[in-house]
Amino acid sequence: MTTTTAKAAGTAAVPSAYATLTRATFLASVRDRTTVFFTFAFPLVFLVVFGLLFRGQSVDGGLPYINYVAPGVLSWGVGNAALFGPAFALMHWRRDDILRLIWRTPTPLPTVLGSRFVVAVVVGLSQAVLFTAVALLPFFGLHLDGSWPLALPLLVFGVAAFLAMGLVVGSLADTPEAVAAIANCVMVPMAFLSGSFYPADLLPGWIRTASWVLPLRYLDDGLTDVLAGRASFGSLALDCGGLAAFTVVFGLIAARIFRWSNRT
Amino acid sequence: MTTGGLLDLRPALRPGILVGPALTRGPAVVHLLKDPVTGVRMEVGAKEHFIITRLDGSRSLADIGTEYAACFGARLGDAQWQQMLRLLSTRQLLDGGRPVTAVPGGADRDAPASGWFSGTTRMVADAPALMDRLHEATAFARRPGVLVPLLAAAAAVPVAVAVEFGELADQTGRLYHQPVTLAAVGCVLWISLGLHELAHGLVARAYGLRVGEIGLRRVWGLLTYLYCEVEDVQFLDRRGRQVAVAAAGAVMNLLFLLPFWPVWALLPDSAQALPALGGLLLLGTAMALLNLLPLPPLDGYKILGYVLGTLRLATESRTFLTVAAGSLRGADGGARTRLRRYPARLRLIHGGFALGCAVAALAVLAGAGLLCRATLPERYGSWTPYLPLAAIAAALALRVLGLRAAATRARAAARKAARQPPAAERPTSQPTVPARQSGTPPQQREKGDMTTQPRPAGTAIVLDGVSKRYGEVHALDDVTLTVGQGEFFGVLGPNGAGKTTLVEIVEGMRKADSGTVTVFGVSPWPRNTALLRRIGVQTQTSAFFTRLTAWEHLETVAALQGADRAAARDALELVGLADKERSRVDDLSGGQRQRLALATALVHRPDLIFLDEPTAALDPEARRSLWSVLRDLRGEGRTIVYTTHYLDEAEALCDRVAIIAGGKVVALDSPGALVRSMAAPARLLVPADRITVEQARAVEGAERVVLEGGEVVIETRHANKVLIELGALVDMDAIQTRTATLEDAYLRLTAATPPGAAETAGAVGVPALGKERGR
Repeated sequence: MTTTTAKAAGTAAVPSAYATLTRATFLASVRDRTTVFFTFAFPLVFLVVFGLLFRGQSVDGGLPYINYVAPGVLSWGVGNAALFGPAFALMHWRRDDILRLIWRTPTPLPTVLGSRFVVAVVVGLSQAVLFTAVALLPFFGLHLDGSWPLALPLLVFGVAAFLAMGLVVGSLADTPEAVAAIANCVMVPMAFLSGSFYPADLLPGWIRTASWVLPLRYLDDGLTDVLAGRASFGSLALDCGGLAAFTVVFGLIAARIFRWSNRT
Repeated sequence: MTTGGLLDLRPALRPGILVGPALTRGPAVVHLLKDPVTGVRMEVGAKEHFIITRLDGSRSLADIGTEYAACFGARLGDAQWQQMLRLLSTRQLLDGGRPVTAVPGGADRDAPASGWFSGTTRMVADAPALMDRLHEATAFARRPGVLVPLLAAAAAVPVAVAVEFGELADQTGRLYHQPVTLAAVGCVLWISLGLHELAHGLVARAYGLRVGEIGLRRVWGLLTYLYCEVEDVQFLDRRGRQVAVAAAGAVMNLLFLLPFWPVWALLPDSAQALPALGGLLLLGTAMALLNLLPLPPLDGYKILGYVLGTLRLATESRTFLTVAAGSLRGADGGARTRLRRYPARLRLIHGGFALGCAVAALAVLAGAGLLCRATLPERYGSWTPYLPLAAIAAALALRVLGLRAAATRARAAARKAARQPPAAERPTSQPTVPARQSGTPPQQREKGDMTTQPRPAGTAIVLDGVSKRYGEVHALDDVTLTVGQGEFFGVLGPNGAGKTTLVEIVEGMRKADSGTVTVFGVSPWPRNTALLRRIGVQTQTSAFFTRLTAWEHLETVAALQGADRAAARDALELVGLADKERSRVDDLSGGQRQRLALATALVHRPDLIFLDEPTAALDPEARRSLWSVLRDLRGEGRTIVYTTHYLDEAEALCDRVAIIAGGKVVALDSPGALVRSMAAPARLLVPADRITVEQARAVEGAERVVLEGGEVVIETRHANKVLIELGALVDMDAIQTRTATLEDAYLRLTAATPPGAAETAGAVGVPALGKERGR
């Protein structure tokens, strides 16, 4: 009897590594005020800029301009945050020997990544909520279709794909400057080629075709369809599948180039 | 007797101390002094400078005193000499053979807090290295054949701009109606400003100065510009060179415009790019020339200071004006005497500068007024010229209000603090005594009483013929050693001796190239989580989860280790950090970080603990309290492997010590046995003003007598006998005894390693911490 209670008390007192890590990651993200600002304010700034530039125009695709710009900028913002955050964290953790510290503990790496993923998803969803709330203002005039919950799986898959890319970047780069340089080199051209800031329908045909090799294109395409209420199960599955494929590919690359320490 | 001893001293200034030429600061003649090791800068007067420059180790203080008397007409008394020597030795300026420790906050000055809108961002990790590369790349431009035409071309730019001023001004005016183009011109000029800073750095580098930092500085979110910190310009021996460093930026701005000139001249009149190019040329030249105005903080002000040999000309001019005004009013007799201290030349300089500033301020005000009238629309009426004046008045009023508010707040805070009961003030900077400390004070507990405790049988670590190489480097070379369970095992060795590799192989992070490793009877390679649970490692770099508090960090580590919160709490209290648990890890001091790193290693209560220089950043008191923590850990039967640079620490704590150099174990024994095997002499230290070297040599039993940093050092193997003899000459209280320490053994052993390793051993400065036993 006594042993059981003692045991129960013991297990209750040991918090799971996963929960504690998630909390630590979350606190570290929230306390980085600059990053929080850019994560949430930057997409809004872009929304305002492009919203002002193209207000009231409509495009060949048949939707009002805001229905192209809002999902585009949102997918770019979510992808950006999901890539930069883990990339910086991985680089810092390796440089400051936190990875070595984790290596010495019985906690497996997937637990660490899992907590990172949960925080990234939460950040992505909060971005989406805030951004959509602003876009719904009469000034921008976005109309949300009733099928909007379909955006949730898209966002989760999208965060996973960009997180995997972030792990690749974080494994390649050894300094914050290198992370910023590589990540920007990846994200900026991708944003333009995927039509995040203007309707993809305006792109030349061959670029539109070629852009399907970019993960942002899938997220953008899926979100545009969902918000406009023209998403079918097939197209959604295709977009999610594409993002999942990118997750696997970049995850494998990240696993291949992962380093516990800068000193080899 | 004491006087004779003091004046016979022949102290020497530490090599490498920079002494600047004579400058004037206000009416006073000063010299700048800089210690390149600690980064400390100071100003000394002409008399101090006279003495300091003569401290070369060959002249005695008596010689210098004679020269001083001849020059200044006054003799220095004993008290003055002692004061002088004390000052020099506390500032670490004397060559005493002891390694110099960097003064915290000396070399890296307290940078103002860097926020979103104001602050600096370092752009280049190793600015000196970058400047070296640029220096080589620009070698071609330092030949007279290139440099002279370049300078001539730079000088020609303002002339050409003056000739074409009408047209350029017209185009610049048009530019103001094309905001996008204007922004583009601004960007190009911003790049020119960046090159301006690099030019300062390059010229400084060419004269052998060091470039400290290159980065971006943000001012109130409005301005962001590149800066390049050049150190020690005032120590250049020729004023021309100082001026060259300061003027390089403006020259670079002008050179930057050169390629644009032919394009502007060749373009047809209808070309759209004309306003952009014209604006660039005019604004760029204006920027370069404005920078040469002698007003702080512009380059021209620095140049003026270098040419005149003055320090803080602007501030001193203001002081001079106050003094001069006071003297004119005649009310204050003190002001008149103070004014008399300024020689005619300095009166001219300070008065002239103040006048120049006033004229410049009026000119700027008038210019701004005219500009307002020219640019603002008619409907603002006739008062537009007074707009700048009104703006300045408003700004001044705001400043006064702000200062008043700040003063009120400060007073309120002071009142509030005064109301707090004194008991509420808890000492936070002081290291707290660890919770688990036992009753005996740590100083009195010798490790002797520990070695007698029963030690658990068995071995913790067995290394047999372990080698590891990285390319050509033998990190470990056939290392064989055994660490018993419950043993406190010291690993000593210079940096790069292989200590880190040894630890990494034992914990299973690296695989040995050859040889066998067992820890608690099993192989640590490949990663053995069951074994890792029993090992705690304190890392050298203090790995903490970023932006967490000390407690949150430990909680996280405990969770990762599968330990409960109570374990984290215990570890935090064990190292005496409980009062800092709410501080962010980034805000902890060096010593606090060390203790948190120790707690991180202990959180899962491991049996085998690796500690890597755990006391490196601690003050003596905190070190002692940590020692007792470590002794308690050992008392609990844990095995501790301890790398350290502090040899007194190894001597006080370790059961056995392995000295590693060049990847080999060069000695392995108890500290006492190592010291005994050296049979090194004891050292007796007597302040040099109490005894002369000759007197000391005459003492029977003294083997070697040297003068080291103001103290006569007597080496002897018969310490007792010599002490008695010395007691007849000087007060016993003044004598310090230093017996042979592990340090002597260590230095001898690491110096005698193979050639490849000796290099590393010699290059490392080992902190000379003698073990002082009584005064």
